Amino acid sequence: MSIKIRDLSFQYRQIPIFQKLNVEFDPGQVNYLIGYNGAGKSTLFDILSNLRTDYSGSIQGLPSIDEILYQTQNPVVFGTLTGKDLQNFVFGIANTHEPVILEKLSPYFRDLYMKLMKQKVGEMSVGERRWLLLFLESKLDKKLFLLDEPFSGVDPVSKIQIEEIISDLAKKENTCVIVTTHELDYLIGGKCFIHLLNDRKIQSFDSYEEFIKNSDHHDPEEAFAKLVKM
Amino acid sequence: MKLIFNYFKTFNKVILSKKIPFIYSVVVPVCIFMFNNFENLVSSTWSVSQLLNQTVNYVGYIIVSVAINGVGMQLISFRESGFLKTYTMISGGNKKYGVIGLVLSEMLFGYLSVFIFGFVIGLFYLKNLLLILTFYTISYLFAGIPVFLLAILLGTLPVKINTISTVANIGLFGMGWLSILRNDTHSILGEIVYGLNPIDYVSQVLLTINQAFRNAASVASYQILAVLILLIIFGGIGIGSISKVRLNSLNMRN
Repeated sequence: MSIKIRDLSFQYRQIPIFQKLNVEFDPGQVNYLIGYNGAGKSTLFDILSNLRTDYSGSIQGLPSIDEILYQTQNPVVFGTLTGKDLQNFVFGIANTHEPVILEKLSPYFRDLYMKLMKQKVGEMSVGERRWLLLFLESKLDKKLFLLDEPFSGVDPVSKIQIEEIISDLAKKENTCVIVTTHELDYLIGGKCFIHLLNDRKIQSFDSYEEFIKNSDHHDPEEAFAKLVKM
Repeated sequence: MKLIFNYFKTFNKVILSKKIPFIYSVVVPVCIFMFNNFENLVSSTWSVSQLLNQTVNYVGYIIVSVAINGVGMQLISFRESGFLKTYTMISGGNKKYGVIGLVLSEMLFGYLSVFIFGFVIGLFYLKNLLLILTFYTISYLFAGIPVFLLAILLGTLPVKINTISTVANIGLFGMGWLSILRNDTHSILGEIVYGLNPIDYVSQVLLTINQAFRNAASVASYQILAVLILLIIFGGIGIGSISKVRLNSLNMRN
């Protein structure tokens, strides 16, 4: 299921955010949406999740709203709940979900999961909280995952754990994953699509290698800086 | 129903684990009531009916403060933090499950607050404790449900939490003060106008039910009609507001 956006235009308080924007988000690999702060990444997510409808242009291939998950930046989770309470809550408020099968987890993630089930959310690190919430969300019956800055404020170990869930999600059949991030280091060597939102339009790259050609030193931040100045 | 129940269950766990809400919703009203009326309470000067009449504005404050802070302010806070957006999407994109779950859990908390208030006051009238608690329970159904529904309206407003929180809590005291000071208008229109103040509405409900307990025939028709009309107005506004609760934050990009 590819999501095709054609000639999308949107303005907010008279300020144009997108102007005839065209982009295609494909399944099979993670779609990283990168851009300046304030470029409109979260706004694009609002449009894809039908939270903003006052735009012009067309969007094809979007699943129905009950098949879309939108995780905002800094997701709120109540500190007094245990991991088990959080699991019961997330699964309880969703229509359908697949069960957590411990045998399918690697020993490391199995131990992490078991540990977090008993722990209060307020006592978990930011990374553990994010990992657990994303792990639970990955069990939901959704076709489009919109993850807004899932790596933000998270320690390096948790980043790897979160990245693994996201990659596994993207490999699922009929599932499209779009992630906004400022953590360009995580794109290095990875199999992914990269979409740079800049100046109200998107420039897409089919691979990290194609994106990094814009840097003389194979530095993703240098590539980003050069592309946004163009 | 399952989705609403799971929101209700989780919100209850969170609400009941916090101590601060109990202080403003139960401890403060109880302490102020007892401070102002201790002599009458210990000497049992009042009849049970007179006692209950003295408490109407306190119960009004309890219900409205829990509704404003627990429902109205909480919806705005959930919106600003992104909670409402994320969990609404988990629930399939329909915000009613989270909103109704929150309202039900705060209604339970409000009832517990009123029950505890009534229990403490009732200790001074031990022989009539059951009657007092029954009175508050019945009154809560007619007084509390519409007010909690009305509080959903706050979640539809394009305001920031810092602004509205201050205004709402100052307004709470203004509403209480207005309710205490005013006299019976003896007219349905007058009672409806005053009753648009939620604390006054709660007071009217309690006074009407208290009068009915004593002598149903003595309850004026304008009293009953005013309460019923306000119940319908508040309930209608609340139910109509559910679909209009805003999901997008005004402050942050989330």
